[in-house]
Amino acid sequence: MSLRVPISVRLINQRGDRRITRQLRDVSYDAGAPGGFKSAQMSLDRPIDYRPDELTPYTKCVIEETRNGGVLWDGRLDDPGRSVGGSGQIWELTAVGGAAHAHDRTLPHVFVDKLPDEWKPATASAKYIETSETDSNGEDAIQQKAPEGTTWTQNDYGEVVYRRLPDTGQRLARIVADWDSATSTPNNTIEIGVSVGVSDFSAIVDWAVWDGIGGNLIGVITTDWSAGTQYDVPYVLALRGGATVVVGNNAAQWFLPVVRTVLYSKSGSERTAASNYSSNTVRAYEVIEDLLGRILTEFDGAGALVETDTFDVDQWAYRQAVDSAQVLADAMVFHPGKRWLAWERNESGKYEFEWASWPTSTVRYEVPVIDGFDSPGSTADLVNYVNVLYIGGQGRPRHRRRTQTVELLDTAGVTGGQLIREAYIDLAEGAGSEANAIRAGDEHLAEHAFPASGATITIARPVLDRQTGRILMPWELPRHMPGHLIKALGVQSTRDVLNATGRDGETVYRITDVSFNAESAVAICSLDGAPATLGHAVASGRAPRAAASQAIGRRAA
Amino acid sequence: MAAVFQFVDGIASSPGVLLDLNDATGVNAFALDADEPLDVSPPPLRKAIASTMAEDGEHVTASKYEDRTIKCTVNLIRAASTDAAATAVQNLSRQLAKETNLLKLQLHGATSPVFFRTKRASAYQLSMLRNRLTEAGQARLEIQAEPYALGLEESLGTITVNNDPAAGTNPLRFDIAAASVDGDEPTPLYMRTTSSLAGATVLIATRRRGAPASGVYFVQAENATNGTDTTDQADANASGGNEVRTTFGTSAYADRITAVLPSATAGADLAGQYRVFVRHQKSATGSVMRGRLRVAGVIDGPEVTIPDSTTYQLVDYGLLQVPFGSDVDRDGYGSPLAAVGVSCAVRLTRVSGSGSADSDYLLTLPADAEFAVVTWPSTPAGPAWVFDGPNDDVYWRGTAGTAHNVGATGGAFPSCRGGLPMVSPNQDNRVFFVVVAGAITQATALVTSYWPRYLTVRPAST
Repeated sequence: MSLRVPISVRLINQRGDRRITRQLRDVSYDAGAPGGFKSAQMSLDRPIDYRPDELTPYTKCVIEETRNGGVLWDGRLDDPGRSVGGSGQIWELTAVGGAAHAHDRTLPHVFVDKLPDEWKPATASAKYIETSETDSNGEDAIQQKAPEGTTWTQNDYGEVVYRRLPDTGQRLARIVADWDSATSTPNNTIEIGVSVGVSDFSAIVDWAVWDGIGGNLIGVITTDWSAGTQYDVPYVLALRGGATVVVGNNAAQWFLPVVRTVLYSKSGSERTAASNYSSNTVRAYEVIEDLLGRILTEFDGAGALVETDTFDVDQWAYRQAVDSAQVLADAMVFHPGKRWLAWERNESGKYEFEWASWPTSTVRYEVPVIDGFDSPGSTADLVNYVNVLYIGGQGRPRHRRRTQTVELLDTAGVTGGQLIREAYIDLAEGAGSEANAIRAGDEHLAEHAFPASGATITIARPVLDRQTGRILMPWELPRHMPGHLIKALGVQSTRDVLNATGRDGETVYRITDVSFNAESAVAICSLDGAPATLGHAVASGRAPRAAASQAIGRRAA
Repeated sequence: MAAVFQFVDGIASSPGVLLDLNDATGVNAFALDADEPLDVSPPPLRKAIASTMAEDGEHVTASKYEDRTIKCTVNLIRAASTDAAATAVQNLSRQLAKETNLLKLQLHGATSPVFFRTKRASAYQLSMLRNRLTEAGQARLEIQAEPYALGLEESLGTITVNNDPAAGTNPLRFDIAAASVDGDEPTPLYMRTTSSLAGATVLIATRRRGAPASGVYFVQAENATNGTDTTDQADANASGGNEVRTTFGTSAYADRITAVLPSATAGADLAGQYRVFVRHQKSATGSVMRGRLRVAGVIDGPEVTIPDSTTYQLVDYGLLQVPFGSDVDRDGYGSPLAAVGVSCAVRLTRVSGSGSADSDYLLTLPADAEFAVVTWPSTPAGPAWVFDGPNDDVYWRGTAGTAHNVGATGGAFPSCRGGLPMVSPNQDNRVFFVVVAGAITQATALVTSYWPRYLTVRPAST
């Protein structure tokens, strides 16, 4: 292709729909996985002493292919910069893609919470009933106890409430108390109930007498309370139903709590059917659908592709507010084999969204390296052990250590034995559970079982899309390449993070970023992320990579 | 006739003259120096080149013309006085200082002029002898101008396009023969119509290589192969009076219509990229139906939603490349290869409801030259809908010939997605003009013209 690059740029807002292609000095745009459309930059020659209608912030910016009318990039303008210099008066336009909307709202969230630290004594709780956190067979539990010698008056109770949901704006879907008592007596009962706001108990949903054996008390929306009432505070009582008594040294009950919140469907309706909350866990795809229906209203939730999964997350609650991008990043810690992408707006003005797996054995593109290829390579990310920090109950830091076999390291030691390389992951406080730590650790190891490539490939010529059978030009690649696999032809085989079952010893990569510049008319693809280490980054002039598995330890600023 | 070299006020056969730079008989005038060259060389061509040591030669990734520079020398002649001469120089400076201007050039003996859209060029050399402007006053000019020289507007007449692929004349398209397009380079098309397009979405595509007329760009659904739960039936609102109806005995995705697209007849001109549309309607509203195009039996295109309407409209099923999966068009360095159409299946599913889906025809519009989707608001601001390729814009033209771009009630704008059509000289051109939700009886009368583009000067009639 040796003619003009056939792209056009439009700016659209309530004041107009303008085609500005001919006024641009240059234009570049990029997209990546995760995220989809990321940014676009362009320079516009216009007087800077007034702001044209089309250059206001949040104006839609669409880059289109003039040959076939397709969208190459879609987003919105940031506040443009202005300059005056030897090149004249220039507006520097920067636009961000739909992925930016994942940062629009920073909110606290609770999806499933089994930590005891948010359970506090209620105002109406008898003050002589002591509440504390305790250990129950290695799990964090809440204990309610009348101290020895205390007069426990009939009908008095100790009450603890979970107070997070009025802060997050969510409501209760499931409450579980896995309980036990120190003694057996029909005069004392454990009861669970629900309330609207932090008030006295209003609806008991399940109860049991102390039997010294324990069990599960469960309450689920629709089954145990009406979905029409906005219950958002679960509580647990230790009730003296029998006559007033001076207690001995075993007047105690304890329970392991589980709180789950009502989730939204991706179409924006609350999922209130009890069948949605039959377990004490939540799955990543359910959380993502909830985000789409409840918060990410700029995305086309109803039309979104959200792949299901089967990993049960038993702890997922944010004590501090986070944006949706953080939640999505944490979902990728549990599922590093998946990525989210936001593409162009549909006819309803909402961005197309998908949460789907990286292909593992289908190579969509095969590209020769003759236009340029750079793969610094590195073993810095290769690990055979990982230590995962998570915060459990009582704010106590805990670790789980996981391991895998890495052939390269098995004989890399000084004496020819195993070289131990151990990584460290800090799970966000709200995701602290042993199961999560194991999952995050195992996934991190799988991602780092092979040396990272950190390659870039330059594409200056047409590329065959083996999935659609179309020939794509370099300016089309940011829209179509990210999130898929590419084979670089002409490069010695090097294994990488994919564990692709279809690999045949040639080089196959994930396409994590593609940028196009109209001045050079070439696309540059980043494969398997940017260079792995700071040293390589300095050498190659690119920013170092932050692996998805480490993102969960980086809390939102 | 002496060469015409004038700043003028418009691209017209008799424009108003702002300043004559070759007035050989005038007083206090300028005239081209016969001993100095007039340089109207083609504009420079800038290329973006990708090159590594891994391959012989260079790969040109893109190229474009830069602005040209017109160089000439004009002499100040018959200056009556120094003040008169200074006035003439001032007139020259004023024309050169304009941010944009028009320079007409018609060489001695040439039949037709060309026009250069110039830019500010007020830095020139002015020289004289013995410090007297009246003696050998001379200006050496270097005038920056847009790359192309433009010829006079060439009318292609009023072309009526019928919104029915079975129409006898201009069915969804019109042709512009090679002999009808002058110039050296492709040029944007200008179209204007007073046929109402209020609330309409219009697809405009071009094919301007090879023999566009040899292509077949649609298949009547009743002439394709019916699939699951699909049968022919008559419909006066359908092209050719017939359609096919899918009753969804099987609601899940299944092949409903199968055809070789764009055509079952192989040919070298068949190769290219196309955007596939199917004209659908529902038997009743309220059902949710979706579709996708299955290509070559294995590749499923994007899922589309069938509009909830009992009125026919085109539904975009995405892009199709022919030949499928290959960019090779020749046998080695030999002859062009004939391309073969691709077996495609329109797959439909009914998600909810009980209605049927009707399909009138399958349309494959070329999508490898220019393709535009123009959406017009329902309330126009003028009597004429304009597709202005030279200005890369769409708007209404008011009664006074002015341009409007706002709906009569305010706040509604026409939008143009993609690229407006161009036509190529020395090449047959086919322009498709399709109203997405238009009836088969809809006809659009397009007043069509273009300004030919030249790299230097032009011959009489091409």
